[in-house]
Amino acid sequence: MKPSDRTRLEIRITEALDGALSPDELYRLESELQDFPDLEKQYQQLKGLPDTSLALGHIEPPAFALGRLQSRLETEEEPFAFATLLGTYFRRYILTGATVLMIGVLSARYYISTNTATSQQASELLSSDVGEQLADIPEYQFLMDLGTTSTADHPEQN
Amino acid sequence: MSDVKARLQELLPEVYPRIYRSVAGLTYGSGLNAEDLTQEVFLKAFRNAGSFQDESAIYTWLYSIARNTCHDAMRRLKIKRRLGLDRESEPRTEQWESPDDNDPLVDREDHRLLRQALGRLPGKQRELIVFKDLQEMTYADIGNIIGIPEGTVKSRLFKARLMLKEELEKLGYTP
Repeated sequence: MKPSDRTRLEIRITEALDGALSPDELYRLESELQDFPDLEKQYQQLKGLPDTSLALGHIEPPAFALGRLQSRLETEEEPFAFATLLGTYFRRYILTGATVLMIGVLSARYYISTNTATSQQASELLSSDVGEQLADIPEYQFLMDLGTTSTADHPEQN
Repeated sequence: MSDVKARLQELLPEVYPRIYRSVAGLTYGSGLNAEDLTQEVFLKAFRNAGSFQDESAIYTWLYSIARNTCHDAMRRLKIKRRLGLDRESEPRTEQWESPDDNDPLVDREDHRLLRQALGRLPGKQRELIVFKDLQEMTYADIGNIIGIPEGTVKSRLFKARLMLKEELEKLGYTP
């Protein structure tokens, strides 16, 4: 049997099961199926299936469902409502912004703690023997004098 | 408010339970919340109401949104589970009880088995059963939603029903 013939009979069986065939068409189908026992058997098996519509037919949504939808739709009707803008349109931007901000804060904290450590190390260095040796270097002395002079020239800065 | 939005508002009490049932059927057993997904479907519909022109096809349009929303949610869930990020929505086979489950006159065992068998079907077969057998949609409408010709809908439906029968048998169903 050609595949197209088989498909045609499958289509007819579906129509028969759904009550879409006239008595004449049904008789013709059943006659045709006598030549194809496998399809005839499947047809008979499908006729014995329980009514599928019973499985879900009486399931109802929860009583509060429509009210919940109505209130959500009312929020949708206010296109510039703060909650709508935040919750619907800008959610991903807010999440991205919050992530960037968090990374920024963490980086700043790390930078500050690193710099503090450096300042402590610098003061330790200056009060050590190395600091005293630095004082003997003329360029260092010049820089120190420069700092003192500029402060003296502008006493209001003190 | 646009005409489409006004029409949607008007249809809401009637169409909401139908879309809810479709969503529940399409995601049954996955652990996804059908109620949340249904809300998402309608929010999308209202947001995109401006782009919708053909008011006669408003149901088909809503079912298309429901189908796409469910597909996306299932895909996201699959990825989450693969990455081990989802611990809340474990796969379940019994997600709800229908009002009929409390009715002794109704054959509850059949319903339970049908739901379980439906939950075991792959998405492509399951949606055909949901749209045709549960929602009683026409072949043409199903074809429009899925994007396939009517004849293909019928032949796929034949195979989907056979798969459902096999799953029912595995679960111990006897006619």
